[in-house]
Amino acid sequence: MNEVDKKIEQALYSLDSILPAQAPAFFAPRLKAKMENKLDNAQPNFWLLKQPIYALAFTLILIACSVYLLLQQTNAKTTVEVRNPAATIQDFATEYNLNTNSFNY
Amino acid sequence: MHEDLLIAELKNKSNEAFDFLVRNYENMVFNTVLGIVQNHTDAEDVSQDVFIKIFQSIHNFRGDSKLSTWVYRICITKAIDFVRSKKTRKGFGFFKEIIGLTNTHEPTADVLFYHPGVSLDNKESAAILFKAIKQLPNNQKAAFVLIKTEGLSYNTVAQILEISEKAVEGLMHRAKENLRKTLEEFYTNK
Repeated sequence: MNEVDKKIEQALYSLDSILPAQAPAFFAPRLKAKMENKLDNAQPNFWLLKQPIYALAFTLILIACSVYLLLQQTNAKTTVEVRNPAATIQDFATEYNLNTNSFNY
Repeated sequence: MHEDLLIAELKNKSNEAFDFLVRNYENMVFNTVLGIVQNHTDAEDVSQDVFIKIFQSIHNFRGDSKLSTWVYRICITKAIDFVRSKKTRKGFGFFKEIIGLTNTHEPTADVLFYHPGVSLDNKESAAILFKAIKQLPNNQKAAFVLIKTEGLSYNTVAQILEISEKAVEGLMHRAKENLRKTLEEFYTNK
């Protein structure tokens, strides 16, 4: 057995006589304080949105809604303009007093 | 306090029962978590989270297994989740460092972990072994830590991990093979 093999064996068996670690002093009071703090300041946990797949789905839904609203608004504007072009011209003419002129031509 | 009574009292959110649980399980929880997270401060933090989880979800405990088995299961899940999120944070830290948002790098990244329960003559070898344990896949890591540092039987580990005893034997065999490879690499390049 060479030196490297010896070291490997030594490392692999190094935990054979291990003693369990003890919790640090004042573990219980510190736990109590953390619990009180955590439970008192309990806020809604949006754990679902922390999952990447749900976050992505939520983002896509938001984008779809925004696009839908944008299209709706664009359509509404176009409809007004297309439906009544004469009214718009009339409004313009009225605004600038172009309906009649004093020279009667 | 008898286990059934303890569980019933915990479900009633009794403070005395919870204190009893903490007194009796704190070392077990801390030692298990420490074997996986390999840092005293982090282990204390995760152990506290384990007890908070027990307090919050004791009503989900059906009593199919022993309370200790259920507690071990929470310890393993919390510790592995912690290690995973720490790795992710480190990844983001590295990214931030590259784009110049921060210049703080993790100084403890390659620091060896010295378990307080290891005898002085095995201290260095055990630290190298713990470094190799870090690189094991999660299920092999869990089985190895439970058997080696907690001294649990294959049967108990099988119940904790909800797999067969044969599967635990397989995990341990593969864990030892992987550790041997990592240690060989380490000692050859040293």
